[in-house]
Amino acid sequence: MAVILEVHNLNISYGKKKIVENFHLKVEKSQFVALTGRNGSGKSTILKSILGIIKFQGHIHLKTDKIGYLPQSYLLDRSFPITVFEFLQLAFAKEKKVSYEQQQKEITQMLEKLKISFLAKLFLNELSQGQFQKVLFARSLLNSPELLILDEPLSNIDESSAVELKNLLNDLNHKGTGILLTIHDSQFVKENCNMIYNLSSDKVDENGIIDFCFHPKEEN
Amino acid sequence: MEFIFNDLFFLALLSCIFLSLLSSPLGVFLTLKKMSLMGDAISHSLLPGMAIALIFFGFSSIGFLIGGLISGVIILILMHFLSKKTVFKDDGILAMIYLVMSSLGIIIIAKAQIKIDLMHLLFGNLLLIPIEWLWLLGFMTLLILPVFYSIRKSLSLILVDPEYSRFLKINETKVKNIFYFLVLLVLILSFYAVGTMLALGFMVIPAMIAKLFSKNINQQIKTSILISIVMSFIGILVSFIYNIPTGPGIIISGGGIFILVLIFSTVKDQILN
Repeated sequence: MAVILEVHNLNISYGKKKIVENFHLKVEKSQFVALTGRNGSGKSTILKSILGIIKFQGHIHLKTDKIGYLPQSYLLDRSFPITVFEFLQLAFAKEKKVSYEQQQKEITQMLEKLKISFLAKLFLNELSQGQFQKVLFARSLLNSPELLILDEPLSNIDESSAVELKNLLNDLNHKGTGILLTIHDSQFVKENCNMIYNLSSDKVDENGIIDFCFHPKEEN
Repeated sequence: MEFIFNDLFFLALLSCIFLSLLSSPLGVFLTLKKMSLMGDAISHSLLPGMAIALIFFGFSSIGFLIGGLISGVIILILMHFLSKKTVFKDDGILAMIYLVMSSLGIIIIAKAQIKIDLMHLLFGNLLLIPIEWLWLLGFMTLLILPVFYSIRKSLSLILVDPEYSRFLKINETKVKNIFYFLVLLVLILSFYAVGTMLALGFMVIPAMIAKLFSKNINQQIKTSILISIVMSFIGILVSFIYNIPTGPGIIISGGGIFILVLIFSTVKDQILN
């Protein structure tokens, strides 16, 4: 299977504090990979380094530029006075190749695909957390990504919204999209992921180096 | 009422229409994320530059433009440096700059013993507006608005979702600096209408009123332009009738409209609920 993301010897520090040490990761096409670990263990930090948002030491090889990203929703300012449709248009802020009409078309189709067209004219602060998460999910899918990077996509949402999003993720994965996500739902991880990287791991290999990588059946 | 058809009234109103078109889009964004103190610091930073320009060039449009630009750009660089390199919070830095620059401007004017009514410099005088300033306003409107609309999407994304804007590799510092430079230009252009002390009034007051009318940002910009023109018309009219300074007249009109709209919307909400 083709590898679409490889991370070697990743080290990240905030000032003098080391957040991530000697981390390795690999994501193949169609693979569903979870990053787990305690709060503050560096899960989001790793995702941000892969996306080039923060500085790091080590090697990150992204073999596709078609990446979708869903940040943690609490980082967004939902009081900003724009509608869902206008919010999705901002995803094309740096896009010069896609015409305005094409952008409109892509957004409309994505809203229809996720069955949330009825949200298009609502303002961001009028949405429930589950609805907002679906909008963020729609944005992450706008450029038909080969690799989806999702930071806590299922947190703070109700059960039925979580089930819908889980089904969508599985559907995308079965169609060939590689998925790398941070998540706390261990049941979901066991049932759906091909590989787990646990940042709170205490498993040590024969060279005395922490082994972060688990197969779902190994993970407790 | 024949003064409505007089040249002075018409020129004053025309310059306010240009300022309304320029100030409203910037004002709506400036008030969205509590950035209005930034605008305040920039507007007060213009005073020393304009006072020095007055010493060297007299009451000259080009002099005011250059003096304001030099003073404003120095302050933008200083604010950037202090906010990145020191532990102080942005609002503390802005308040300090605001106070120091206002004082410096007043001292320069006092020491230089310029024979000018300080009121003109601080609060503007639309009736002194030279025709070349109107040409400059028209030209700058054609220049500033396209630049603003070219960064608008990036600026919105930075404000609503900074993390995603970094993912898209949008240069946050560059976009914000362009925005603040546009604010600086428009504040300089507001000089004749409302002076350095009230320059921010054209941006902030109509934007605040527009928020009471509409939730949507595009609608807020359109409403803000309309309100800005209405408050200018009332302000100039009142200043002609009662012989009061035009700048404060315009700002007071804006304040009056704000209170009326606030009362109306509160009463309307009470009735509907």
